[in-house]
Formats: sequence, C-alpha cells, structure tokens
Amino acid sequence: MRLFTLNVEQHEAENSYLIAPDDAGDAILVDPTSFTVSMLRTVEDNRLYIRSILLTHPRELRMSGIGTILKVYDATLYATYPNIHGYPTSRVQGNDTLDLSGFQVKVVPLEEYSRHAVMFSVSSFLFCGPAISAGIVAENGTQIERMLLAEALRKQFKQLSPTTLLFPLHGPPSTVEAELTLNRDLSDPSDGDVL
Amino acid sequence: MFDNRLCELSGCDDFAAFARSRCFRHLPDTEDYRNEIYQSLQAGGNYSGLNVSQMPFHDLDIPKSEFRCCRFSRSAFHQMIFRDCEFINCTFDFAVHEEVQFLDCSFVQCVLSGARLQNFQVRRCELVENNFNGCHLSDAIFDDCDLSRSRFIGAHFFDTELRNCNVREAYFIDIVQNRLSFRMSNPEDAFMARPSANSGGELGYAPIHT
Repeated sequence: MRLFTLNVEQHEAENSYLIAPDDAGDAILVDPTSFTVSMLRTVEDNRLYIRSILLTHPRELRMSGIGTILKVYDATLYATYPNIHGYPTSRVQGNDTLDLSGFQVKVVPLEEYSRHAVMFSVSSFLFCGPAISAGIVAENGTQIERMLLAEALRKQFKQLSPTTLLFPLHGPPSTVEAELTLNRDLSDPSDGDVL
Repeated sequence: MFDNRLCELSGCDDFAAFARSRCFRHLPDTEDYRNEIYQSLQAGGNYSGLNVSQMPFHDLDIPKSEFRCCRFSRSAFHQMIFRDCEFINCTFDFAVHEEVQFLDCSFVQCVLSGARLQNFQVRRCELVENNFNGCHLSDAIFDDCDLSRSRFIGAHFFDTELRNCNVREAYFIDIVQNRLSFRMSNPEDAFMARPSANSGGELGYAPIHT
C-alpha cells in the first residue's frame, strides 16, 4: 500500500491524500480540495486510476477539483451527503465498512463535530478531515461542543493502536500516541494533567 | 509505501522491522540486523517503507538518500550526520537525537512529536509542515531553514536558536522556553497563541512560560 500526500508542494493549506496499491491500479482519493497538474502527474506517473473519492466533511472542503476529477476518472464519491454540488454520492454512515479496490475502509462516526462528519480508517491510517490537526482540536461552536468533540476523539483514538498515523485536512500528520499524550485539547480530565 | 506488517509475536502491537517478521525489540539477532542496516544506510540510496523503529544508531555519516514512509519511532540517534537526505512522511516520534546534524536535508510531512533533540543541528534544511509537538530541544540550532507551517505546540526549548529561518505560519503555542532565539527569523509571521473561532490565531513573537 502506498500513500501520497498531495498539495504539500503547492504550499496549499489543505491536504489531500491518495491511497494506492503497491503497483499500478485503482486508487482512493481522500478530501480533494483541488485537482492540479502536479496531482494529475502523481496519479498518472504511478499508473493509478482514481476509482473512489472519500469526503470527510463535504461542507468544509473547497470542491473546485471534484468536477475536473470526475471528468477524467469514472470515480464514485463516498460521503454522508446524498449529493455534492449536484454530483451524486454513495452515502455512508458511521461504522460502515467499505471494500474499495481491495482496501478495507472503515467509516468512523464523528457526529460531535457535525452531523455529516466522519473519519476514514484504512489499515493503520486514520484520515481525520478538519476535526483535528496535530496538537489542536478544531474550533467547533461553543466550549461545551468542543469538549464533547475532544471527548469523542479521545474515545475513538483509544480504540486504535498507538502507532496509527493520523492524516488531517490541515497541517502535518501525527500519531494516535502523540495526540493522546501531548495534545492538551485531548487530555482526559480524569487522568489529571497529561503534560 | 508504508509497511504495515505487525510483529509476529502475539500481543505485540509494533510493526515488523524491515525485511523481518518481528519488530526490532523482538529480533533474536539485533546486532547482526543493526550492522546490516548500517551498511545499507552508509551506502546511501532510496528507502521506502523502511521500519527501524526502536533501533539505536550511532556514529554514522549518511550520504544523499531518500526516505519515504519510513518509521524511526522511538529510535535513538547518537553522533550522526545526515547529508542531503530527503524524508517524506517519515516518523521519528518519541525518538532521541543526541549530537545529530542534518545538513542540506528536507523533511516533508514528518512526525517528530515527543522527540528529545539535544545538541541538535539543522542547517540549510527545508522543514515544511512537520510535527514537532511536545519536542524537548536543548542546545539546538536551526540555521538557514524553512520551518513554515511546522508545529512546535507544547514544545520545550532550552538554549535553542532559530537563526535566519522562515517560520511563516509555524505554531509555537503553549511552549516552554529558556533562551530561545529567533535571530534573523520572522517570528512575527508565526502563530504564538491558539487560533480562536473568530481569528486565524495570534501572530507575533510572544515568548511565554519562561
């Protein structure tokens, strides 16, 4: 399994990810916010075909790339929304398990962030979308709502291996262990101050 | 590509070491394995999915190499020099670096959170969007580096200098510092306080928790 982080070279603020087999074949694109020439090159140079597109939280994504991608590739969108900007999706909900091009994709619910937010777990990776980035739980309405989100994330992370890599929409990657032990937003009040 | 094979020993959650079925801790021949890896690294090359987590490294001079999706988590580096190396999506979380130099290297989207960096030198390196959260840095110097969009949330800085570095949109929030210098750098373009719902965060130099 190969993983490509897209957009970094373009100095854009949002990350997209491409999950690909070891050799040529069908790939999964996560949270495409744009579709640039360099992204196209990454796909084509590695003899990949975008077959599936996973959306963690469609409302927060800039969708300018979706139309272009769907013109080039016969891909299916997976999201909690029935359609995105007029493009129909295959609807998913929390705890679904999808078999996409040979990859087992688990849909992790995150209603505490918003009714339509999910994360996607693939092998030892978790694609978190905008709900958390390295060291920071997203601002999410009131203080209480943010605490509930932190609680939900903490609970989900504790079910994962500490070595699970987290790939957020914004910023650098992290690991479950790093977030549970170093992210103040996720510190468990019952454990005392983790720092 | 990441190699996600787990250690074959039941109850062990660690990933299997490169080209082995067990993690480094559970290898019966750690010394031989280490020599094998040392020889390979000293020759330089392209490495993808190399997992050498928890392995100690010392007294090595690593020439131009590319490391993609490699795991060095909880490894220990002592008296090492990396020259012209590229690290993409690599993990060094909770690793220990003592007297380590990175010269003309680049790190892209790497995880160094919780690492201990002592007598640590980074010169002329690109370090865009890396995770240094919770790092402990002492007697460290970043010289002529691009650290833009990297995160040092909750990091501890002691006798550390970021000289002539680009820290645009880097995060230095909740840090603890004693003699942290941004000489000839642009801390005014970095985030020094947590982003709030109403703003993109607070920019500017504001040393805290001295």
